[in-house]
Amino acid sequence: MADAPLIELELITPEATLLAATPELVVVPGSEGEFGVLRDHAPILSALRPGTVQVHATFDAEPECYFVTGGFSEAGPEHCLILADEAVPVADIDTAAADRAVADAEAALREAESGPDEAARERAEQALQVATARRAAAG
Amino acid sequence: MSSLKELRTRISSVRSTRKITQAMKMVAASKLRRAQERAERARPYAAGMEAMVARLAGTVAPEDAPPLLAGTGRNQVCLLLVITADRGLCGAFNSGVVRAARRKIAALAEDSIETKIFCVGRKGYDLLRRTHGQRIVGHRLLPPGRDLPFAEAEAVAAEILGLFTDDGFDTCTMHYNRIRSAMSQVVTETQVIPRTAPESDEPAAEPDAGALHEFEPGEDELLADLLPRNLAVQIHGAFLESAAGEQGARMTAMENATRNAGDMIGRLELSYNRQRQAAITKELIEIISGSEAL
Repeated sequence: MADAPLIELELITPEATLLAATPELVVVPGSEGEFGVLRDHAPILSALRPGTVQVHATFDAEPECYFVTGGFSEAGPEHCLILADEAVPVADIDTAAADRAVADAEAALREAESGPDEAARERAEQALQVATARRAAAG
Repeated sequence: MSSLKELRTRISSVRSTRKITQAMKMVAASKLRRAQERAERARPYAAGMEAMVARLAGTVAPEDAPPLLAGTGRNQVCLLLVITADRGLCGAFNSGVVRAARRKIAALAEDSIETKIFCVGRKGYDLLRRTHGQRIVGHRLLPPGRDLPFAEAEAVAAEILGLFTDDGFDTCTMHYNRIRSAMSQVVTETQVIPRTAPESDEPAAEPDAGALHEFEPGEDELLADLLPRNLAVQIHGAFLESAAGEQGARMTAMENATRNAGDMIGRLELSYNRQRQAAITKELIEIISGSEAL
């Protein structure tokens, strides 16, 4: 498909613009489930859960994957804007470090569960979710 | 009149001061470039976030809007977030922000609005502690090193939000230096709680009527997530602006100091040479009149 319709994708973190490209398909990990964005997508504003953004330059191409810890995404007919809290190319994730992060997060959660602080427990749970998702993304 | 030897030591000490200020100026110049780039890179995110919040804010009925957006409905306590540098030697950079904050406090006091202060950066805290110590509810140093990680802004935002949910204040304004150019900074006041649309040059061309958005999850949940995030983004933006401004101010201040040192060296050298000449003349006169007396 030489003249396949493209979408303007921007993947931005607070510190820098990580990616600006025009792929054919983007798969975004929305908080209510993954959704794919093609051209002429209905306007949507969605929160993100920790997961992988898959950028397909063409439909058949292997996706370029970015792990995001959370954030927000806005998609329209021609564009897709992803505001990620943190994002890294999946290839750059250190598997061993990700494993350690999961173990640490589990330990922190166990500690927080015995404690009285509700907010701390919630934070620990979120941290574990992020760590697990990062580990899963690393493959 | 100081002796020749004293003058010589003065000159050499001013010379080494000039070397230091010159080096500081050069360091500040290169740091300024990096800081400006960082501030530049952070802008797309802030702009995207602002657009999302604006879009969402438009869809929520005013009476359902969360307090972060619509305010608490009261205006009795105002929190001032004062952002300065940790270090001095940068001209009026810190004192300018502090002066603006003091003026604001005085103005609010006349309207019998109570004020609280949250300081970021050591200099502002040191200056305000003396005059408004009892109003300061918290302070924070900037992290060491060149980077200003977003996490730092998030931590400050979390503390402020904690105060807000505990009914600690009704409105919050941010006082910091915004860079106008490399050489000049303007002290800026921005209201962050309740949210105000930032004044931009282009009129908000956002509401493209046809684009009715689908929201996942619902508007309210999204807004509840977005608003604290937006606060952190605004604070982070202010941090970056302030960091770049600090380097710019230091560069200017050090350039002035270098120039002043040069002037001073010139003056000292003039008086040194005069004195030396006077001493020589005096000796000559003594020798001549001595030989004449023979």
